[in-house]
Amino acid sequence: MAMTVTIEDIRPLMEDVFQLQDLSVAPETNARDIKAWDSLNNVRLMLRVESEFGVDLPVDKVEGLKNVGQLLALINSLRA
Amino acid sequence: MIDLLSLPWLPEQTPETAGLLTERKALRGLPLKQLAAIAGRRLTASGIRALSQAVIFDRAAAIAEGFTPVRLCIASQAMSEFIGENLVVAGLRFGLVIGIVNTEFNQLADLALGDFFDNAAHGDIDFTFVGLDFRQMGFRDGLADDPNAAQAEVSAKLAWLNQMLGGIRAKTGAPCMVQNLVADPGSWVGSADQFIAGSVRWLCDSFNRGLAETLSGTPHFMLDAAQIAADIGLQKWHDPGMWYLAKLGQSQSVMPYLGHRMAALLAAARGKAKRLLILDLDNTLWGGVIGDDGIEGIRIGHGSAAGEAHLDLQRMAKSLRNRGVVLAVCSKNEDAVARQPFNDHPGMVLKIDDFAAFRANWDDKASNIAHIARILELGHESCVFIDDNPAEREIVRRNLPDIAVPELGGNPAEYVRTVMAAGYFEAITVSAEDRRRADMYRDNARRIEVMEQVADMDTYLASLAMKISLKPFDRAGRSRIAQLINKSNQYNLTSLRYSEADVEALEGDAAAYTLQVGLSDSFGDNGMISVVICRKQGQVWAIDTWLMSCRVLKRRVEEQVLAHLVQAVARGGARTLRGLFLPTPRNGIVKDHYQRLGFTLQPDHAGEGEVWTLDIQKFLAAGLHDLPFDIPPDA
Repeated sequence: MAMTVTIEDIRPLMEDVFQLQDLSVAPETNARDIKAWDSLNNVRLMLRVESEFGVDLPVDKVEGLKNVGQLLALINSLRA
Repeated sequence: MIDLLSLPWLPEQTPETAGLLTERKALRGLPLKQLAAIAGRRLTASGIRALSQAVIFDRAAAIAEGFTPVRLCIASQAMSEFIGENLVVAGLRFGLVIGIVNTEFNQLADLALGDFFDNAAHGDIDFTFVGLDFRQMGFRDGLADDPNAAQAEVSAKLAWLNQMLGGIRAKTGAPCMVQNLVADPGSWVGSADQFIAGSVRWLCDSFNRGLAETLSGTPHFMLDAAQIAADIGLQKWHDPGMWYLAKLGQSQSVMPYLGHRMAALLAAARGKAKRLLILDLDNTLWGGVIGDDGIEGIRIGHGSAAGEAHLDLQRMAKSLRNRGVVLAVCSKNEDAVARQPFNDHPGMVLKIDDFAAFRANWDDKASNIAHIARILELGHESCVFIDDNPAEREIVRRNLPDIAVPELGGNPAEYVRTVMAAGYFEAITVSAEDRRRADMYRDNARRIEVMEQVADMDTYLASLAMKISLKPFDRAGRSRIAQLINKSNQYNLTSLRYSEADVEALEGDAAAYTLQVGLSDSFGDNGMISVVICRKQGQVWAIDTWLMSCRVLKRRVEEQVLAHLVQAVARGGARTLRGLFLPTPRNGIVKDHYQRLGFTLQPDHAGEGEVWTLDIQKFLAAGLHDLPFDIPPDA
């Protein structure tokens, strides 16, 4: 079974996509907390998540995501 | 099998370039040549993004560094933001510095008919990319039982597109690169879709066929996305989830390849496609080593799988030659041994006569390649070198960084696909002139050999029995004239660029005097080799454009052109011929052009460049030189 994806796994992706260093990320973090998290970078992040963690994000699940914690839960449910 | 999406022809980063990529901030401000060296090697998605952000669009700076600036407006029916960064990086591989002007998603009508281009920030456009997407075309449903209605639907969409292209061209003065339709991976009925008028397949195919016909003969040109998608597979091209979520027209994994193919096309439109293909022999043009295996032992042609694969590489080279790509050989071999298969092996498609230069010796390949480029008078950025040996490839890359050297992988069966996918030899059109070009270069290389044997220049020129023809612009010459105007960088006094439509306008312009010059000699026909445009300004005729192909340097062509010009000025009743010299990094060869021809520098000229003038009466009084040309009467 695949290892659980954690905040520490997704943080470097977010830093790379948002082009920020030492980003602090918590499960509650959402697009309103990070200025660079606009719609374009949101697409970048989803694409990076798909390629990095080998998952295919279903459109119906992505639309309802509220924060990083929910994204992680979705990734892990897809990898289970 | 190779995966085209990984751009398999690109080598891995070197330790130095990889180091630069990790220091993202250090990328900014690096010389363009250095950024291009990084772009010419494999990159990750975030590497592409970082590199694209380091490229600053500045026309003057780009030209000063030997690059061609291209400002591209991107207008797509799908979300196109991700094309930009891939295109900027790919452009560097072709010597282009691309500046992107993004537009709102699916706003073609605003560009064509609205005020988008009135904004100064959206000005100065060289090309507009028009990305079409079948999901946004609004083809009507229910056409499948009505062929006439289906045909009418396609015609209506083509008319709409023509209106868009016409509007954009009117506002920007620049041509469009139009991406055709990529059909849905699914189907309606199945195999029958192909001949059921009104199915999505049929609509896309009919539209694409009509688009190709519509664009032909216009300044606009097509990005054949349908073919590119077919090459990589529709299943890989489409990403339905990302279409629904973000209106991405194609999968993100396609972007580096798509960007590369787009850049190749823009490069071709700017005359930056490669012109010379230099080939290694052993294990490249044939299987085995001719020096060891002998003529019986090498594998070429039918009867061996490897022999057939190498034969296809020969066929590729031959077909490139047929549309003007010059071929040369660079091999570590004894010359006589290396020539043997071309003369004696029945399986060979390529013959000695196909090559403009043939260097087989034991010197290092970089020196041989530099020598080949020199005698063919082609810049390194016009050359591609193909060699199965990874060590030779890397040495050439390090010593001659401007030469394109594709990785080939380890399987001869993939050589052709790999090289052609790199898009080195893209073209917007193929002219009759292109088809003869390889012969011309070969003949010229032979002229150089003869010249090395004849002691004095006049004897040599007389021996060439040159025939020159000087004619005003006309329809027959139009496309070649435009090609020369856009391609000539070295023997070009002003480097002013005009489109084919501009050239057409000059044909009937009473205020302009134009010349297209053709030259043939005892070695063959050089085709059109010089172009002049003069603007008649009362007593003064100002030379707006004077360019010449470097193939005919030192043949006194420019003197003959001047003699012809002077007589035309005199007939036109004017007194002075005025020439402008605008220096660029590439045209140092013409810095003494006007001085050598007897013009006088005007020291008071305040604007850009140098202004030179010639007093027509004084020039005629001194008498015309005796020049080594036969001028056939105008046909």
